[in-house]
Amino acid sequence: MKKIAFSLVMLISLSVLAQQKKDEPIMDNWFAKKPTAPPPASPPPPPNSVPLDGGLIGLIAAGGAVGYKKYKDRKKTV
Amino acid sequence: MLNTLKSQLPSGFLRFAIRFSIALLVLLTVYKFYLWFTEQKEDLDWITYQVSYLSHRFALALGIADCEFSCFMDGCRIGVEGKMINVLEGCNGIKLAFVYIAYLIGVNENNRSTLIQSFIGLILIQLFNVFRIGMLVMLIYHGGDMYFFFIKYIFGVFIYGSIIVLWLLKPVVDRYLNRHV
Repeated sequence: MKKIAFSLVMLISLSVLAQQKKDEPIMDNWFAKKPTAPPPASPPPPPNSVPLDGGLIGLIAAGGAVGYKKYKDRKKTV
Repeated sequence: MLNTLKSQLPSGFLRFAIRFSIALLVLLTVYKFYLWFTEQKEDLDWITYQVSYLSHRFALALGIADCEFSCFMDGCRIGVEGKMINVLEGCNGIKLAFVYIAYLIGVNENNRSTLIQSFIGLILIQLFNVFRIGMLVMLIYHGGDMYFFFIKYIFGVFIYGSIIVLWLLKPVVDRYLNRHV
């Protein structure tokens, strides 16, 4: 019975810890709820990035399709 | 099974597919190695820097007088304070040029024509990318939804579409180059 109770407590405390976000201050005392360190200042929002290679896989597939069409058309003409 | 597959494919396609894949793999590997080398030197790669620098010059030419330009290890930032654009390695367009060149190597029929088309394609893709980033700096500066519309649809469709059209027009370009160059 003691083992089951201990396991339950461990399980609940682990899941509570898992829910805590990284940015949240770590509590040194569960009852006092006082943070050990002040929360870090939020970083400035990152500027907009303008990626161009998002559709690279699609372009490779298109290259394969264009090549297939080219050789298929050549087969017809021969 | 391989023979069945081979018999169903148009003749020459398998050779094209292998050449296309190997060319792309080699180009991307060399580029990855170059990126690793610049990372070891704690430097930004030359292509991203040049694309960013030229885009900044283009944005200045478009009339954004207070356009700022600063580079870090991971990329460059261009624009007005609070409305900056981040040009990272994935924004330099070189991978698209590699796919374009790999296709040309895959269907290689004339070395000289392939070389000329690869060079012109590489320059055109980079110039279009400079134009694209310069325009995006201007659009984000003026605000509104046009920036998102252009970045999400217009530029992407235009550059990917242009590459596919260039592939389809390759026989015409080959004939022209053979006659005039």
